[in-house]
Amino acid sequence: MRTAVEVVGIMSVAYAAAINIVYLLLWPLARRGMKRTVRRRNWAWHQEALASPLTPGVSIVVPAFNEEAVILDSVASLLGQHYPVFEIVIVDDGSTDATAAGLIEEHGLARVTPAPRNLLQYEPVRELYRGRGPTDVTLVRKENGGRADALNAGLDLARHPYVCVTDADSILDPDALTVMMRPVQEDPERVIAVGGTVRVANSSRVESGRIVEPRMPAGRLAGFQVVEYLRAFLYGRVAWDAIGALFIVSGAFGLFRRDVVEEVGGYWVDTVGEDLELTMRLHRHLRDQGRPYRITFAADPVCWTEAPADMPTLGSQRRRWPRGLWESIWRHRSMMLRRRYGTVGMLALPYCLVFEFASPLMEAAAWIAFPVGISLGVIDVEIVFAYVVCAWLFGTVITLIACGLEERGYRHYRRGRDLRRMLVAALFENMWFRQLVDIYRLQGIWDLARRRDGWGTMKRRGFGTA
Amino acid sequence: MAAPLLASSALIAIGLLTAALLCVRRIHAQRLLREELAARNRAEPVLHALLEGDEVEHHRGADDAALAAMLAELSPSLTGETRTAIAGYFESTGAIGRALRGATHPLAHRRAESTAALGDMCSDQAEPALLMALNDRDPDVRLAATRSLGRLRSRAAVIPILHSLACRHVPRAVAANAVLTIGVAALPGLRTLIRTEHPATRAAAVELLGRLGNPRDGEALRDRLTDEAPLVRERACEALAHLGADDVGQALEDLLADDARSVRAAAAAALATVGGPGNASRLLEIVHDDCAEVAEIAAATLAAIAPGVVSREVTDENAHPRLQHAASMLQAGLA
Repeated sequence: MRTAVEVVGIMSVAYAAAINIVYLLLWPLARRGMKRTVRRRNWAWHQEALASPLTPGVSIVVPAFNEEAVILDSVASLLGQHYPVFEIVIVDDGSTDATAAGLIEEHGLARVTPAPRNLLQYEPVRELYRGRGPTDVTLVRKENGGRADALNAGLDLARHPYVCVTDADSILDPDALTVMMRPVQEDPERVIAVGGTVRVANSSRVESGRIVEPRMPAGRLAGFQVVEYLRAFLYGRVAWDAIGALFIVSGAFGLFRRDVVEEVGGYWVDTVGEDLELTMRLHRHLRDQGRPYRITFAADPVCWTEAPADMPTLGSQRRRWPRGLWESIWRHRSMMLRRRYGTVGMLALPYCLVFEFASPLMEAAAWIAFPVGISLGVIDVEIVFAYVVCAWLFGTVITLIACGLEERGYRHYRRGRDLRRMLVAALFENMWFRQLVDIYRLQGIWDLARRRDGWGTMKRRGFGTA
Repeated sequence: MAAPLLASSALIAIGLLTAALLCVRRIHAQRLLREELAARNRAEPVLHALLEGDEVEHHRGADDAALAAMLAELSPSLTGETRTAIAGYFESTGAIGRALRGATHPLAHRRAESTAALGDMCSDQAEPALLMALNDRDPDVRLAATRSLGRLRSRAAVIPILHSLACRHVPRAVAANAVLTIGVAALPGLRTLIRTEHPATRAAAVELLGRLGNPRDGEALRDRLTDEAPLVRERACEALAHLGADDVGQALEDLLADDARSVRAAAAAALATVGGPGNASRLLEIVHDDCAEVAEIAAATLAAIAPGVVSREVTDENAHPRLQHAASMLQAGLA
């Protein structure tokens, strides 16, 4: 017993040291990536992209299930995109509320006979509506099949060569599509997918479907998610992209070349982590074929989303994530530590398994081993105290650096009180929010072990709330 | 215990320092923003005087920078004497000379910044340096040079820009926009390049000739419909549709049997503009094309040029779903 506790204790400390070293190694990459992004803005060529008749068209696909509270705001924001050629494809995935009715009325949609290409598999389409006015809005009504299934339907009915997927509870910045398409326009042969930054919109001022003043959420739970998202996107994704190992193009805001997604069979419907799985599959497929490609990340385009503001909703979301992660890792386990899959196989996948999936397990082991070790006299209480303090402080420093990247690159939160709130959230996020999330993740792993599936429910409050 | 204590202290210090740095940066940034706004307000009367052709005294410091920034924002939309006045202003302040030096800076981002700035200063003095920058090893510098040459309306840049476009040294949208900004002055270069040996250059020239040319270019573009390179054939279809060329229906119809699906799709799409009911029977066959995208376009074209044929066809219960879709679009007034 004593030896076991001792081993777990040593492993926990080693694990914490390893994860901190990984974060330290990612820092210069994130810093360099963000610096480059900021510099390139000086000669951004948005005007050229907007004026050029050769800018490729983009279909924005939005899956929606019972989204009547937010769908009209969301479509209004999408229609405000500064991009020359785009269409909006809303896929109503068997909603039981007035999602479709609201859209039909608001945009004067007319019912037409659907003619899907049938290049992807999804539940049958019941009705198809197209816009009469100058706005190119399409509404697809289909049998319920889940988010991935709805996205497949949207992809199959999209008319443009590039597809931007986003959520109904999201608001895109007006320039988001133009900036997102920039890597594609610069390297159209190789760039097949682009991920964009997702940020928390709670409490921000929204007018006519636009975020006019980003604000820190009034609620603590959403506030912690602001700094968590900053760390994930401006620190993590920028760094992984710098070494060509971006392992996820977020489902909330991602852009894909349609023909390549069709080639790999679209989204996998039997997972709750369909965005991660698709990204992995694209890497795998193109590496297997030896085709040159790039899956990249653009930090500038921003998609604002409503983050869970209460514990049950947060729990439902976070319990799902480890399941999706595991399903993707397991499905693509043969890529793990294989040189032919480059940095994705050698670095990103092992990182996902060891530091993303296993971290709640390791933390749980530490929280059990330390008290037991102290009571048995195997572990020194001062060592435990030092471990906890160092882990907290290190996590805080990393989050503060992510806030620094935001401040350096964007300064979205203009008000002094928002900066204060952001700093406070960064200081305390590692103190109880991370532990709370770890508990949900453990529950998710437990659900996975018991083969419990399903998406859970996301309670919408609408934009501008805490 | 000393080591963890030391580590904790160091981390606390780093954390506090980072937080303090963030606050200081914020205060500094807000001060800069206020100063910039004030400088812009001071520079505004000078800007108006300059645009109206009045003599403007040379400002120094922040006002000078603010004025330059405001002029740069306006320069793409200005023409004629105003551009000359802007160029004169930047030449007199020495900004052109500084930007030209910056265009040869060892750091790529400095070169790109200066190259982009040169395009906003409206001075022809920048043209040779910008043409050189088109061959820079850094893609951002090449991109900035292309954009700047377009803004300077440089005739000499047409052929180098199209070569850069063909070699994928610059994004298609930026190169095309630069050539389109140069306008009709680019036509002689484009007319030469549609017969050049390099297929990608030919394709780029054909595409832009379709946008900038006139009906007299139809004949030369029609020849490109039988080009050996599929990309050129595809672009020729699009170009002829843009020009609204006459008597190309049959030639485009022939391309509906092309091996390359992109060519078939482009031909079907072009027929929507320059085709007629005479092309309907062939399009009806293409609605069954193996490539879903080609078939989709063919059905949409059919609805546009021969709605009667679509309505007749869908009276058959087993009509192709794409025809039924096209018919329903017609019925809803969306075709």
